[in-house]
Amino acid sequence: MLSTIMRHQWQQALRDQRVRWLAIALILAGLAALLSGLARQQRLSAERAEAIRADAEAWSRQGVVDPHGAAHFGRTAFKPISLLSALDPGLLDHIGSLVRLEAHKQNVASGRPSDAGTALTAFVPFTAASALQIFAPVLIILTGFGVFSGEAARQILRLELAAGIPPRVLLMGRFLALGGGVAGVLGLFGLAGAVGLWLTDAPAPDFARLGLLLVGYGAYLLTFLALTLGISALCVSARPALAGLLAFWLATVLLVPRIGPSLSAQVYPVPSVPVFANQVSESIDDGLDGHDPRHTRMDRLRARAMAQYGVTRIEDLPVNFGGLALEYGEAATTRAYQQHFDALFTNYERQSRLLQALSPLSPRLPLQGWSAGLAETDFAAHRAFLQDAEQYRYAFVQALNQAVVRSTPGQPRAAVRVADITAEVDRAAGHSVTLGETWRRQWSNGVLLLTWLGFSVGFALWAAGRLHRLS
Amino acid sequence: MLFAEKLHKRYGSTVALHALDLSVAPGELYALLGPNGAGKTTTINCFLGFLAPDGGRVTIDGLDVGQHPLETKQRLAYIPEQVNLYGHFSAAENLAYFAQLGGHHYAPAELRELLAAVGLQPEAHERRVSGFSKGMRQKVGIAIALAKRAKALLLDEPTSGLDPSASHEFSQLLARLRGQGVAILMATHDLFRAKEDATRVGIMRRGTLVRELSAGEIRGTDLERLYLEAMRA
Repeated sequence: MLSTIMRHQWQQALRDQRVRWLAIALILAGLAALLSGLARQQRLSAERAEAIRADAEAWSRQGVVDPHGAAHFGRTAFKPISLLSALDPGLLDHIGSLVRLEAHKQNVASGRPSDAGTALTAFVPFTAASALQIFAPVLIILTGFGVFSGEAARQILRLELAAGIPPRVLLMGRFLALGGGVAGVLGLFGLAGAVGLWLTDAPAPDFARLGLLLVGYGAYLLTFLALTLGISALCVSARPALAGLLAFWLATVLLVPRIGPSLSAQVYPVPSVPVFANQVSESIDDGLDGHDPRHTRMDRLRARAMAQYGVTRIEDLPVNFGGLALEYGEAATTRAYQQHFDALFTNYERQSRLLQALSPLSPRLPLQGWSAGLAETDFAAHRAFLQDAEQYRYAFVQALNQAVVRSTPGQPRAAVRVADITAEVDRAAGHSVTLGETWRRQWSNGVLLLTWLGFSVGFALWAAGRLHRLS
Repeated sequence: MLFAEKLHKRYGSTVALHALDLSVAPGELYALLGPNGAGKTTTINCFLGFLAPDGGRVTIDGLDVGQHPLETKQRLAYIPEQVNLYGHFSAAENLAYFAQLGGHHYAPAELRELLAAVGLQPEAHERRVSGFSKGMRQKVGIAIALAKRAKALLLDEPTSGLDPSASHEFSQLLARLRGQGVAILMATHDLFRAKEDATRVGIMRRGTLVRELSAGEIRGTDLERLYLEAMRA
């Protein structure tokens, strides 16, 4: 019985010219977006590899120089670009892709890809993710709004129900048939993604990420399918069903995901860049508690160093006090930056949690988090990169400061081959977020997506129980 | 086979059915006459289980429709006034689909036989029904009903809009089904067909069965006069 209904629904959808052309258009547009994303990802990765090589060369080319001068010369950390960003670039276009690493300060990320584009391309980029998140639900609505309401209006439903078919079996048959279409579309995206991963020798976890990504999109699109069939089963004619479904799409796919972040930013505001820089600067000058000025800290360092080496004059120290001061100052400024960045990131976390709390209003909200999280293009991945970059910056600046500490006291700072000094510092910046880390952050969005699916299927089954009212 | 006892149905303040008693035995064709709004379609909807009566009982083959909605539907075939089918499918495909919904699987040759049996030209069997006339769609509807091999048949204005020839063919088909022991309940405005085909006639007015005529009474009387009298009473 179920297979009869599924086969019939399939044939009907395939023979309906409008649905066929809409589906082909969506698949072609989505795959084109995926391929262009893949090409872009490859270009950005190649540029990144070249930039890393040029940075290393520039660093080594300094030769023999003053270590502190080298710390100010600095290096650059380049963010890794995951292959799955071709599917969902997430925040990639709007957050920086590199961080300048230098003494005394933690720079914010710069080099946003959107800076290089025109205003229009930066405004609404068409990606495989947006094809599936925004346009695929419209296709589902256009395919399914008349499945019951149109048949009720044409009285075909009466014939079907009079044949003795249970209404819920009728609904499930159609849900599974159209769901098969959804699975087919996702399968094409999955196949294209898997081939891309295979061609670039991607590690196994990336294939797992792709699989999980598609599961999330599957839950999202099936949610729309179940809601479409449910609404169709409640409406006596096709027109109100279509109007209601398009209103739902407008609200949940376009409006809530736009309003949500604005609301979060209002509730948990973050300082502007100049204000943030000013706050950090004050903390560095006046101490973390605001009552420990720089000169007092320096006096304490002098006293402690002299006590440690049993001397009464700075000039008698066996180590270079300038180096000690640089080392100590670097630790202090790093703590100040860390405190303010932690506060900033905590606020971002709160914004993100508030946005997630709005998920009952839109299934797209948890999907956005799930998709960008698995594609490593969300803020968590960006933060992981910033933390890695900072860890590396601190290590190499302090390694250079140590070289100053070891230089002869009272003499001008010795020039050293900085490349040798920093060779042992682990260039950790650029490691990817592990799948486990992503899962720990994203499982709740997965649960929300499955909850939406469960609710919508339950609603559709309830509506099917009322189908006889349309007859 | 078809049995309604003290059937009541209201739509808000409007009484659609009032204490309706009705039975149709196997091999009988009961024509339900009455003006629009008399309660004919409501009665059929109660037998189909699409409407739950406010009072009374409806049974098919001894099974209560409310308690056994699926089992009773499996014993029924139904032909509405307008047989609308899936326009993207051929007559044979529509027939196969609806037959399968009723749990019957037919080979292509059997489908063609069924369609031929209701008078649909062979060249139309594989054509999409979107281009069919009402009469042709009605024939496919009848083939769907036949394919179900049901014990009872519910017809809601089945000859409305059919040309005299198609209407005559339809009457012959009903006679054949009656001969096979199928109980037929037909709601109609067509007094001529009722007099020709029915074994019993019931005249409804405002939800009540105001007159019932046996086969013998139908043949020897002027049905139109009786109908008009019943409407005036």
